[in-house]
Amino acid sequence: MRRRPSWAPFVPFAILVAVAVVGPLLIPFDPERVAGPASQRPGGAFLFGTDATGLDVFSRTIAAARINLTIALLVTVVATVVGLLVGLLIGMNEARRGPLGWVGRGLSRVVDLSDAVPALIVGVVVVGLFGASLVSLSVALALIMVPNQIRLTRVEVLKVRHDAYLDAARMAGMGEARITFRHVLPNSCRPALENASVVFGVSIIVLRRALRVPRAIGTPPRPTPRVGAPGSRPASRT
Amino acid sequence: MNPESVPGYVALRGDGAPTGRGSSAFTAVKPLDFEIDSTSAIGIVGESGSGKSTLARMLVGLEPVSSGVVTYNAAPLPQFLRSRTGRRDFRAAVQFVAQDTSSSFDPRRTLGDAVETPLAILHGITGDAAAERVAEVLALLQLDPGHLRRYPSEVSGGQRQRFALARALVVRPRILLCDEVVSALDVSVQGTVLNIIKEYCETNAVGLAFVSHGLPATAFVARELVVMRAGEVVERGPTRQVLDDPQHPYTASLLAAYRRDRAVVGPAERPVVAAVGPA
Repeated sequence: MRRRPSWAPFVPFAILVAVAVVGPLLIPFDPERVAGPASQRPGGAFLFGTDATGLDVFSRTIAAARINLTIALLVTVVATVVGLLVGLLIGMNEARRGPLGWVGRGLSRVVDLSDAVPALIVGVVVVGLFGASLVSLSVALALIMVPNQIRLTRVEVLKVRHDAYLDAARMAGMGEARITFRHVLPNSCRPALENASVVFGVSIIVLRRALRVPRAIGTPPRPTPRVGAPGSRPASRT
Repeated sequence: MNPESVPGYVALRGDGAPTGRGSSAFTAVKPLDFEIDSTSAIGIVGESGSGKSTLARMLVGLEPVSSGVVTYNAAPLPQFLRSRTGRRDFRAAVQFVAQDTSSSFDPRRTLGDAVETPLAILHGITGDAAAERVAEVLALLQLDPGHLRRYPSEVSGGQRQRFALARALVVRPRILLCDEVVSALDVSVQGTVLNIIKEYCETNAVGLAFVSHGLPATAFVARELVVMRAGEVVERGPTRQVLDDPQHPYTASLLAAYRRDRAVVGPAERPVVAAVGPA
């Protein structure tokens, strides 16, 4: 059997990104303007038909890719970077005596507590504080996703922390911060990086749900296109 | 800074006893008083769990001392370790080689990186000068310079342990602490490594503290023996004297156990002594 090239898993993602980047240049209609009669069948000028208000579903699908990808990418990057940093901080310090140990153990408890807070509440609070916008939606999503990334990193750090090469680095005169980033991070980031794809996927799914929650929480009632949003449902299903 | 000129001695004085925590609990009953300088050749022997590794780790500041104090050049060690320059001075003078485990080198970094890093940090030596010093140390330890590009998992345990020694010796320490450095090596390699350590320390006036459960290996490199049991020093004295006339029953039992092993193994496979031999 021939070995699959190492970049193969990225192909579907690359296609998505390509659609997001070039897509808006190719779409036939403005995704936020009425393009024709309501509830048209797919075919002719309207490849995917039109929805109940006469918006072109094909144009909206392509345009949606860009918004969804931007938010999901932002959420993934923020949640992963923050998760790695906080996970390192907790893992390296929670067993320590003194103030750093208190910070580590305190943060660890906060992460555990976050399990008790339903994601929806987090969303309501963030949107309530910062208003309904794509940015606050991203912040809310990142907040919901970050505890898992922290936990995944922390556990890995706890495994790596007692490895003898850390003592060797100390003998080489390295300070704790340098050791953390040079030796601990590269040896403990893997689970969080792998989980980043899950964060990405869940972000897209949650984005799609975000429009179904009461208006007060979701994005403002502009017809912004989003994959799977009710507005882009095919006519036959509504 | 000229590495040759680094003076230094490390001392540990326990008023009651240094006590470790958790699995490495180190509860000494008797006061410990311990001093290593560049003329020392101390061997610390004892069974597993006797606290000898903990003692070595305390002496280099890798483990906290909860009662008693470790000093370097008469100043408390934590004071040195707190500042960057103090830390570097101390690390350049006192090096520690841990027991070989598969984790003694970062799996994601080459052996060359591991050996050059202490030089760069502690002496600011990089580039050609560093390569020269590294080559010197590798030659001393009979290591292939080609292995510098390899990763720790790509060399044998014996080679890895010699690279660990290279990593410590490359900065020209005045004091070298070895914790079970030969225990994981096979007998023929043990002899070679012990010879190298002994010769290097004698010709370069490097103080040696050699921690091991292997009595013959320790007796070979050490002029003074410290016998530990359950975190407490039960006997200490010149190597010959301890071996010929053990005062403490525990020392005697260690010696007897060793002699018994030797009788079973037979002279041909006599560990270490056969491979090392007096020069």
